[in-house]
Amino acid sequence: MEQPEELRHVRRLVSSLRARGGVGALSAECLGEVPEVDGVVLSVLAAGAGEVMLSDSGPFADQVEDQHSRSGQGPHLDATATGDVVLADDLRAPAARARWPLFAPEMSAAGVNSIFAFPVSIDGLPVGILSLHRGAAGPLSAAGQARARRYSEAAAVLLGDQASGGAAGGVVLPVYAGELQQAVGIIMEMGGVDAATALHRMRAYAQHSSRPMREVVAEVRTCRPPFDPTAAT
Amino acid sequence: MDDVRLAVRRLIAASARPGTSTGMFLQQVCRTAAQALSASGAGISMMTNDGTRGVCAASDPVSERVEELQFVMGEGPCMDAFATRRPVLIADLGAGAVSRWPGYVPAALQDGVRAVFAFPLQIGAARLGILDVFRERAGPLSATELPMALHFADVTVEALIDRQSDAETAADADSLAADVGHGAQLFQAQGMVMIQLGGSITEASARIRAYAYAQNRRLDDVASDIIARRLRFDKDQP
Repeated sequence: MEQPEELRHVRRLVSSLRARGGVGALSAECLGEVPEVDGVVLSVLAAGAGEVMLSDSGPFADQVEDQHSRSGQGPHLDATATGDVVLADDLRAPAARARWPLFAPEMSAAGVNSIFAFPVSIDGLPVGILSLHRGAAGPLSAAGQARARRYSEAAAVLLGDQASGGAAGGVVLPVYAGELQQAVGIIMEMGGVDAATALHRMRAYAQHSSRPMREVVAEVRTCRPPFDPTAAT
Repeated sequence: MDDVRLAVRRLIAASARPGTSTGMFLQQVCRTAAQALSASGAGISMMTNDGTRGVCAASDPVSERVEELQFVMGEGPCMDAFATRRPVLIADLGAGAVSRWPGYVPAALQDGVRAVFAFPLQIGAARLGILDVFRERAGPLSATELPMALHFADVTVEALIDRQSDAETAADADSLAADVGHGAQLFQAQGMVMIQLGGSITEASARIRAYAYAQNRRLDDVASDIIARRLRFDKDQP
């Protein structure tokens, strides 16, 4: 069971996050508190929609998510399957390549060599992932792990508040998360593809053109995607 | 007045028992408020700071319809009360209010609502939502009813904050997964319909909501049909 001191930390964190935009602000706040990593992403395992990203910070978040959904492997999926923290401190290492033969080489080729996945659990059931990632290989410090765990618990509280709604529209997606899904819908319609393919096409374009995903999303939302939505990637 | 305060607290305490979902709790508040304020009904919409709607509840089906109306029309006393952070008290919807809310007022009148009183649920800078009180007859809230309504809003805010600080609130992992999935699909459907209509996201969103309202179907179900390409919207159709 948790120490009362630790619970107070989580509660304080929840209050401050709530005042600053809830789960939408969580990734950026967490990255600020754990500067030893390059990026943070918070996603939820949604029914019928795969991993839905609620917030992200840093340049690699979309690639980390994209590789998970393409390969069906990776620390996120292991962490949500088991409910345990998965610390992959070197994706180039043989052990990591043996564990995730598709995911690990692709991820390190994309420039991400360590991923630390903290499950976000409600009533003991993993509902999402708070994931920290870094270009360089190497472990996450004990202090970094403690902070990340605290943020994953705060995410669970914030999501739990919304889940308890019951009535229609219990969960409110953060603004950017909603805009991203609107852009997915636009590519679905223009390209005649499903949601996963549409999202992958946007992410692949952003990666190949070295453009921030937010810019790509903004352009798609003006109905002028900077790439051909019908072309396979 | 003190008696009323006590009664209000007791009613809300009873409905805030552990295991009661936020939706059920808010519904109880709506019913209690409608009764205490001799109103025909009441509705609560939880909203985020950017105006996105969250959980909503109402005392009865008609009030739920009227509460929903503001989000279909994108206007109404509730929206204004939220934006200005002040109560909006409309004692007679038939008297000039139609120029302020040209879409909302005729539809509300048609549903038999003649007066609407909207109270922001807020504490400090944080805005949680709106409490709407509906009446079938025109006329202002009385000198005792107005403070009572404000008290209702305050107590509701307190109760919501208490519930939030309790991390064990009837959280349900499955409903979270379902809600996030529905949320994502609704936004995807907006993007698809935007292209189908050749219009804006706002138009797409309004068309989807209006369709759901007219067909009396859940927004989630309509979004699923759009995603599955069982339903599409076209430019030339109204």
